Amino acid sequence: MNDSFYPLEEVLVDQSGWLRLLSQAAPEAQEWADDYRRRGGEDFTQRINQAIRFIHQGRTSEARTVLEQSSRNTVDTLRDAPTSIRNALESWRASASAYYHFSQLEFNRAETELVLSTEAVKMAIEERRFLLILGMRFINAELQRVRVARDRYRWDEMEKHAKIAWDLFENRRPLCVLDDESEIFYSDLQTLVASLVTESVHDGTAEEKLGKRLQRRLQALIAENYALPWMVIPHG
Amino acid sequence: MGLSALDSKQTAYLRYHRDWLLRFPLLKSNTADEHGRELLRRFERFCTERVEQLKLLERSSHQAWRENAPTVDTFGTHCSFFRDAIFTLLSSLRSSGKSKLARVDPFAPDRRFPLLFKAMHGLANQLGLSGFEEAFSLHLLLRASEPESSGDLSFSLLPFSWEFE
Repeated sequence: MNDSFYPLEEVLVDQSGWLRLLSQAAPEAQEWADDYRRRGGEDFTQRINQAIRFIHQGRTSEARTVLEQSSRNTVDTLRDAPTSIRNALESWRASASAYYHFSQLEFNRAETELVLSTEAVKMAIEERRFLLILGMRFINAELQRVRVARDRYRWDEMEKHAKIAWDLFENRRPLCVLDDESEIFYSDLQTLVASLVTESVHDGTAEEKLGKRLQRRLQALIAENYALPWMVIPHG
Repeated sequence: MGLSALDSKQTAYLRYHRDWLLRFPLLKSNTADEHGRELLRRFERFCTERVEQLKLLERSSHQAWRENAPTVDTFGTHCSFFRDAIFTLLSSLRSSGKSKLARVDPFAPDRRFPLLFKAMHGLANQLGLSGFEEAFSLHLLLRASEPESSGDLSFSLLPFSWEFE
């Protein structure tokens, strides 16, 4: 990997590193990031990531316990936190919870959580526009819907969500529409992230290379879902 | 191998089985359709270098597939047993009406194919074939049963037409 691209890819594909970037942004965003840390936002997301690891390992009861604790945490401990912080955390929780329900074949509940996750991001952006740094979550939700449709054997639906994910990435449809009817596109997220990365690549060739890399990575994220896990016995 | 129960769809099945083996690692490793076609070209080069062996395979496979039922044991007892089982399985599916099996694979042009795939692929795995070797054996059988297929290098990674670029 070309290291100069990494901070961009972290946020634009992996959905990590966003808080560190906010700390380099305008004072308003820096204050928000500090408040997020003070209120335990990083610990919260670490617990969410731990729940995801438990799901990967098949330790589902432990995953459920962590997710339930996190849910209570957003209701109780973070009661006084600004709603934008609560919404940012809720989006992580709901997304992980969707994955948990997916792993339990509880597909309707998974879909409900995915809606909650993207709604939470949208509300966070309504309040603090710089939180569109979490915008990859909209594409991630579509990718999760692709997977849910696959495991329900709903092929038309799977194709529909795959194409929506690609349209979002290609800026053919907005990630979300805010209450004031302004549309937020993936290109807005790219612009924001590029402006925050101090070592950002500014010449056209490097940007084009980055664009191709992001394109390939999203293609891979979409296409790998069609490697139906119940068909071919993996070798090696 | 009991594929006579598929009637005219034998070659469609062979292509389906081969393409799944090529598609799976390509999807896992984010490789484009073109790499699948390149693998098919490599298979074709092997075939053109082995014309005599291919003719031999063509004769034996035609003889086996002309039979409507696996009554002739040309491969030995165990193979006959497996062939009978496959034939029975496919025959029962043909007469079972609508089934959920139709839904398990969006790439399958016939609802019997995924189940047959699982049985045949499981056997190949037990025999120790790699996915590539298995795909090549399917390609050889396809060429033997349909010699005119040599120019057909069509291959797609996704079950619908979708240009990413």
